[in-house]
Amino acid sequence: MSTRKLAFMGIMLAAVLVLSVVESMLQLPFLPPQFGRVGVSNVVIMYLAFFVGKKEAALMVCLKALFSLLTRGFIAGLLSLSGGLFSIFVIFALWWIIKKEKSYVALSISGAIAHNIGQLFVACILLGHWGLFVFYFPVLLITGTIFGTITAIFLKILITRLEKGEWKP
Amino acid sequence: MKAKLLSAKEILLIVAILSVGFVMLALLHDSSDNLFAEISYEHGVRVVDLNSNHVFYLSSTPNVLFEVREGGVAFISSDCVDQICVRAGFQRRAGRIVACLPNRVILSVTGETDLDIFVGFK
Repeated sequence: MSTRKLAFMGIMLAAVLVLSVVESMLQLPFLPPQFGRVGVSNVVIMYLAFFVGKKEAALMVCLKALFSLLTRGFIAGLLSLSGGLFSIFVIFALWWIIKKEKSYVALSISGAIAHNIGQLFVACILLGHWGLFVFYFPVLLITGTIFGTITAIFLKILITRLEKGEWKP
Repeated sequence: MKAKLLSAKEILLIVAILSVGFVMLALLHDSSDNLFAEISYEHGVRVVDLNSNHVFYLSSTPNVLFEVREGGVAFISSDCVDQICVRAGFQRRAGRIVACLPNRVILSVTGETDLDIFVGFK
């Protein structure tokens, strides 16, 4: 990895961590915390996935999970990793299937739902309790769709802002 | 260049997935009045009647406190990092489930139970 790339990834990691820490301090009104978070830090991961490279996006998912592991413990780290990896796997698989008509919104929603399902699946295995899956599956389908749309809109705003400037990765 | 934030197809997709989610939730809806809490933990399941107000804990996880109040049940304190279980608040509807993953405790509200109601633990 070149020095330039290393510095770039460092800045991206800082952005991911700041966004996820700030978000964890906020509580959305009308949304109990067990139903998930918007996941604004995933805007950075999607930016990496779509404009920089698949490997960089996967690396960022692992680094984010490592940060969760260090600050919030084993289970949080494992859930972050399982959600993140399943999410980018689904995004790349869909991207490969629908090559010609790429929609950031559709990919972002699929990624958000996959993130939720991946985490829920691992949580159910850890607890050995599948009643959890029955209740949370529809809830996380709904929140994943709404939050996936929100992150896709953030990504679009980010892209237009970046295009205006001279900034290139 | 001014791109639209959402295309018609994307809005259709969002509406379709949301409807699937809401239909599934509607199918799961349970309007029972006589509620119980089933608490699953390492050593089995405890069933608690939600008609009498009290605060209690399980002997295997003394750092996790539960409270039954006005027909609802909640985690009121826990030694976990995220505190998602505590912030979830009181659950008053059948079908609701809240878990404390680090402590491996699952609290579910149910309208009927096949298990014996356990009373007399504080």
